Amino acid sequence: MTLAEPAVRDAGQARAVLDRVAADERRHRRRQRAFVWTGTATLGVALLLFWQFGLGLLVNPRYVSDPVTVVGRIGELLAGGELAEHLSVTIAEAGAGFVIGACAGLVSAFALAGSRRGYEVFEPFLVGFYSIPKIALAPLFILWFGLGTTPKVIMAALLVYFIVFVNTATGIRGVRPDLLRVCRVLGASRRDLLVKVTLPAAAPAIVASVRITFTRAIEGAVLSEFVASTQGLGYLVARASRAFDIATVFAGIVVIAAVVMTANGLLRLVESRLLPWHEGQVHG
Amino acid sequence: MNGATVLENTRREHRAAQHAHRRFLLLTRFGILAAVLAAWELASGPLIRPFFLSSPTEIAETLAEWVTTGELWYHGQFTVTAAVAGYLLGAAAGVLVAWPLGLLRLAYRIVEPYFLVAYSVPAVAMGPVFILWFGLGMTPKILIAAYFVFFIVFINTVAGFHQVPRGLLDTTRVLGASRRAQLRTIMLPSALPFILAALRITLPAAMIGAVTGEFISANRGLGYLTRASAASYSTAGVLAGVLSLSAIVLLMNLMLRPLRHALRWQQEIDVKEGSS
Repeated sequence: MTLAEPAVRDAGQARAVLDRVAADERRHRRRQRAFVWTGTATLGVALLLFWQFGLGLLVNPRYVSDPVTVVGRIGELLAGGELAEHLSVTIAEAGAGFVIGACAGLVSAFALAGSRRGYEVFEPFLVGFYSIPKIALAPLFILWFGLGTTPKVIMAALLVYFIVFVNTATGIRGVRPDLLRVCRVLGASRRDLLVKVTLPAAAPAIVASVRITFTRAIEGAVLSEFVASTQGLGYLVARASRAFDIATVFAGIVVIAAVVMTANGLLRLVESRLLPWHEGQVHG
Repeated sequence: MNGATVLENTRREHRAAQHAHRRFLLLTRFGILAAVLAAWELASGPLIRPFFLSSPTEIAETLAEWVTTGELWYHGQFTVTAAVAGYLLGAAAGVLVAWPLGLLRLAYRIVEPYFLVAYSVPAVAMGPVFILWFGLGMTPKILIAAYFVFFIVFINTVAGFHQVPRGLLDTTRVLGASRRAQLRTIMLPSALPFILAALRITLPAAMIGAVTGEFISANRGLGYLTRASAASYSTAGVLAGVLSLSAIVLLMNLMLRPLRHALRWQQEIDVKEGSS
């Protein structure tokens, strides 16, 4: 369609032209999507094939295992009931830690960010705590609470807590002060301000931070299981790694990744239902 | 009283109020710190067994001992070296891999799912694999740290390239800009804030990666020292280890301040999550 073409005579013709352009565009999109999809699939198959047949020629197969063995191992673990057992332990630890950490983070952020002064006083302590590599506390928790699930729950909760706290506090403090002032002048009570202004304004940051922290909860639980435990996915991986059983190590990692991805997908779904109008910004 | 003196008086009052506020903050902060430390010191022993809580003096003693025996430097040097080397490696790899993929959108869409999958593997889970592959020395720690850093830098660099407005590229193209000129004058400057922000948040992540590696298995480094203290039921040792690690992270953050300063003209950027 060039400019030199004769001018469009009537509306019907114009619509026909527009329709044709739109159809072209759609077809182009579809073709591109098909191309991307085939590309992704081909790449995936190629990688798996290389891992199965090629990688063993380059390095000792003992170090890298192969996809068939890994899948077989997952099947074995699944059939033996071992996987379900470890999986449920880790998910329970991470889930409990996630809930505790998120609730504690929300409550303390609302308590602190409500008063400007209080927040300013505590800020340096929070920065200090924030920069503690919290995983370094794992041995301490195990020292305190033994080999059971408690230290894992606490570790997971701690990792979740700070991220939720910081994001919630940032969200609350990000409410425009003039908005609060106007509502105050117009007669809003403290409760009105909280429920009708602060909460909706802070909601995206809160929900987004809650969403990204589930991974952290899993990480906290798995890492504590690495340090010392008798059950859980982290234990499975660590034990296999000490036994030089690389297929089981990979099987464990695949399961952990699957759990994280499923949880992320679910939480993202919840988020888009709760806050369809907003794309959250989070600070790790 | 003329306008100038009124203005001067107001200004002085404002300054005085600010001064008072700062003093108030400083005093309450120190007050809280002192109160917590004192309560800790007093509670440890009569109220709670020192085994669980240790005490500030005990931790200070442990730290002093580590300093005098040189243990702190000895172990610290391995952790810091692994973290810094891993940081540099991960950051360089992240930018270098993201660069071509940030420019070729179609290629990026093809490989994107794989990066997302790899990204969602909790980095700590890869620790045992690296240790199996590369033994107990420095290499696995460097690689774990690099792994922690790589994805964050990669994802943010790609995001930086992708947020360049399409229209800007089309317009400059029509006006005759070459691809190279576009890269130099549009793509890089607008991706740079994202890259720098990612570089800033990933230094602590590198530290955590190095410590994770040392936790899983090592015979030196601050992570090892902390874990060895736990193994010998020395709570003070664990807390002293945690304290020195935190101090290093704080120092590293301070050193990266200039990066933040360099970005002050930029609005707060939506950086994809850092590490805990």
